[in-house]
Amino acid sequence: MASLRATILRPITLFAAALAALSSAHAGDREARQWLERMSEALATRNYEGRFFHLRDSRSETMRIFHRVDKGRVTERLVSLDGSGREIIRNQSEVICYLPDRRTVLVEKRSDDSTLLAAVPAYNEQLEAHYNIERGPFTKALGRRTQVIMVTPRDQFRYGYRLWLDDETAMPLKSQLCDSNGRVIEQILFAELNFRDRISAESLKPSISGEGFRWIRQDVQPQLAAGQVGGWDVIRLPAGFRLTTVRVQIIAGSSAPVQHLVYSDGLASVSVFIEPNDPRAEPMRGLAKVGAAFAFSRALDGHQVTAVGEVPPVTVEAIAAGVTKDAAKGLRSEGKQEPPAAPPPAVSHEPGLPPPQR
Amino acid sequence: MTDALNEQLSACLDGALPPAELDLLLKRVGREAELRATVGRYSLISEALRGERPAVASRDFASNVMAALAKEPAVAVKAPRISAATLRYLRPAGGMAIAAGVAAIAVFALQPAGQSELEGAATPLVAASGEAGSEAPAPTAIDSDPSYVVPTSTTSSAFIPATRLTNYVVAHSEYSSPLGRRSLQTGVLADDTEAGAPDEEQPVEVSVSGSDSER
Repeated sequence: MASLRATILRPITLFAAALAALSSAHAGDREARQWLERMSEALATRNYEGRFFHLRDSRSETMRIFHRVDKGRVTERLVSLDGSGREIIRNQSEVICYLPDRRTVLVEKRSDDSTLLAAVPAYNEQLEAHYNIERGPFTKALGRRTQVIMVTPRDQFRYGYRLWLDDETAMPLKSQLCDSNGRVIEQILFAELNFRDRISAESLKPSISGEGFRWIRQDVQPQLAAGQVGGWDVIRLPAGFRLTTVRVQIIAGSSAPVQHLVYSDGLASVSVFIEPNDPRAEPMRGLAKVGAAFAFSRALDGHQVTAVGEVPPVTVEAIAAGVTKDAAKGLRSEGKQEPPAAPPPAVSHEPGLPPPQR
Repeated sequence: MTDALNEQLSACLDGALPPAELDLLLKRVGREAELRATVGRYSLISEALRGERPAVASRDFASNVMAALAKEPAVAVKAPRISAATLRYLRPAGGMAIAAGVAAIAVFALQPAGQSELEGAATPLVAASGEAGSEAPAPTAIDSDPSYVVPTSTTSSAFIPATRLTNYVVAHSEYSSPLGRRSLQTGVLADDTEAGAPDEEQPVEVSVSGSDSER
């Protein structure tokens, strides 16, 4: 991957790569990676519907999934069957979240698929620098013969997976999200999974009309003032994370365009959202949690900076702390700035503005 | 529930738990009421998977079974009954059924509970949300896609941080790997239970002047 080679020039990445190369000259388990490729393909190309348990901490919730692929276009509906009754429907153009418990519907515009191809992991040897990928035993899960695949992170900055892949179809019948100590963070456990020739349009419709709910959506294209784009970067990224996407986008509920940077290690990813402080909203600060994802927010230069990802809290914190605006301002030299361990105090001035005497 | 317990339950489900451990597990479940529902559901599913036997739709079936199990750990779950209507619903209509074709109705409620009462409460909230929207360029429902119900209200950007975080998570999930995305999205679906849990890290403690009553 060209971009990967580019970032490898960074000393820290180089060091990590060298370390990784030393530790076992990772040829890795090629067959294990092929299993993951098969799984990716099955998830992306099959028509299926099923029910599964989502287990985290002491909670278990049952959910239903409908997944349709029609001429390469994916539509997916996820429904919480007990509890909140929430639904997420994802089609070519939008992701719509029905949150009846909050009486809210979120509509997030999708960008075109070409930019999202980067999100599909390449299960190659580079990935072995940060994950140990290997086969476990064949075992029975849900009455089927399954191959266990273990994707174990090599440090504390990312999560891994244990996957029970159906021998015949490579569909994950059971999957566990694990931290670097092997602790299970959450599990998805299929109770039923059916492949279908076709998934009816009816089953992809929400069971909730959303009428009377608050709809949070922004359909207008972002309009940016000159100079508003760019200038943001993250220094001292956790090993292996590199910038994969830079976008300016409208996020549902944000009145101003949001700068969106995506960092990935090839499997795990973290988004950094940067938006001007909204005087009508209280700023967010510190660590927060949504499901298995963590977010870390801080103020910087009149902006709200939030790092979000399916990664351990230490990773979003490190990435949020490393966000700088130096490229545009030239006030700092990259690499010398120590990221603060804690979020800085609320910004009450504009440190990035040039001094008036100049 | 600890991870060890989670693992045990999982192993139990897979039929891979050694008898001695199973014994202990069931005893523990018998003692701890809060585990009963969850474990009961596990075992219903497990039963459905192993014996391909149908499960019954009774609400307290799980706890009854577990109570019985707690007294008699070595005995397998008894075959539950099932109605013809349930069978019709559960039977795969076609295609290839892998894993269990039947599952517990007690778990898979067909209709999200509480939905009707939410709908009943719709009107006052609409009125309340109207006052907040003065500043934002009203992102109305003029949408190219005609298949959605036209919303009766839209929003300003003054909403609670939890929702704001949800927005970020959803926007982020588009750039996540398929496994990561599923984790993120199921996390959003399951998130509601989180707010009240005292042992969890709470969402950032800020409140917005907004009119929301959900906290």
